[in-house]
Amino acid sequence: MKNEDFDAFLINVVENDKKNIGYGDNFDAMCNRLTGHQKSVSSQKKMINYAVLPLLMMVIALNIFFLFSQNNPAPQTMDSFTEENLINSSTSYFSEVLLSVND
Amino acid sequence: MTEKYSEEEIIKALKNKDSEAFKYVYQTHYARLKSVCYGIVHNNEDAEDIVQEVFIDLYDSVSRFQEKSTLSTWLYRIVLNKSYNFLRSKKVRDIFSRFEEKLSQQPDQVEDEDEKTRQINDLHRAIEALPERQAKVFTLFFYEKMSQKEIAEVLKLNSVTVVEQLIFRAKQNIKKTMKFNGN
Repeated sequence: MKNEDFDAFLINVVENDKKNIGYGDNFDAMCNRLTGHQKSVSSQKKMINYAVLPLLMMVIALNIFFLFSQNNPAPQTMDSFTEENLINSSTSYFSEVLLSVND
Repeated sequence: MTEKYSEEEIIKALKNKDSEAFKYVYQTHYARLKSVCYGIVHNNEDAEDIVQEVFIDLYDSVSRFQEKSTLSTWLYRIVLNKSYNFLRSKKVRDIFSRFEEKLSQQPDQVEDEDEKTRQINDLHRAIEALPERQAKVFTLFFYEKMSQKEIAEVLKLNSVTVVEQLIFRAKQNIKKTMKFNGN
C-alpha cells in the first residue's frame, strides 16, 4: 500500500473508531464524583486531625522522653573533669584548647 | 480560547472556584479530551472515567497552574499522563485476567467481527504496540487533528521536525503491524 493510500486508510479507520466515542452530557455525574471526592478528602483531613496527629505527637513526645532519659548524663562533679572526659565530651573544641593550655 | 471568557478571566474564575466557569471549561474541552483519551485507552467507559478525573484534578489543583502554557495545553498534558498511568496499571491487571480467561475460555468461541470492527481492533493493537511518544503524537494528530506545532507544545518537544519524524515512524510501525493482519 502506498503511503498516501495508507494515510487515507488510517483517517478512515480513525473516523469509524471515533463513532464509538460517546459524548453524552456527564457534567452532573462528574460534579457528583467531585463532591464525593471532596468529602473523602475532607474526611481524610479530619482523620488526620482527630486521630493520626494526636497519635503522632504522642509518639514524638515518647521518643523525646526516652532520648532524654537515656542520654542525660549524671551531674558532673569537679572530679569528673579528667582529660579523658573532656576529650570524649561534646565540647571537644574547648577540651582541646584546655589541653593545649596545659601543655 | 473562548468567546465568553478570555484565557486570563477563565483561569482567575477557576482559581476562585467559580462553578459557572468550571462548567464552561468542561463543555469547551470535554469532547476533545475524551477523543485523545479514547485514542489511547480504546474504551469509552475508561475514557469517560479518566476525563472526569482530569476535571476533578483541574478543580482541585488549578491554584498550582503557573500559566506557563495555555489551559488547554495543560489539560491535554494531564489527560495524556492519566491515560498512560491507566494503561500501565491495566497491563498489570491484564496479566491476571488473561490467565483467568484462558482457564475459562471454550475452544470454539470465536468473536464475530465485521470488517470495520476488525480494522479498528487492529489499529488499537497497533497503537498499543507503539512506543509511548509515538502513540501520543499519533493520537493527537489523527484523533484530535492537532497541528504539528500544537503537538510540539503539548509534548514539550523542541521542534516541529521532531513531531514530523515521530508521526512518520508511528505510521510505519502501524503499517508494519497491520500488514500482518491482512491489510
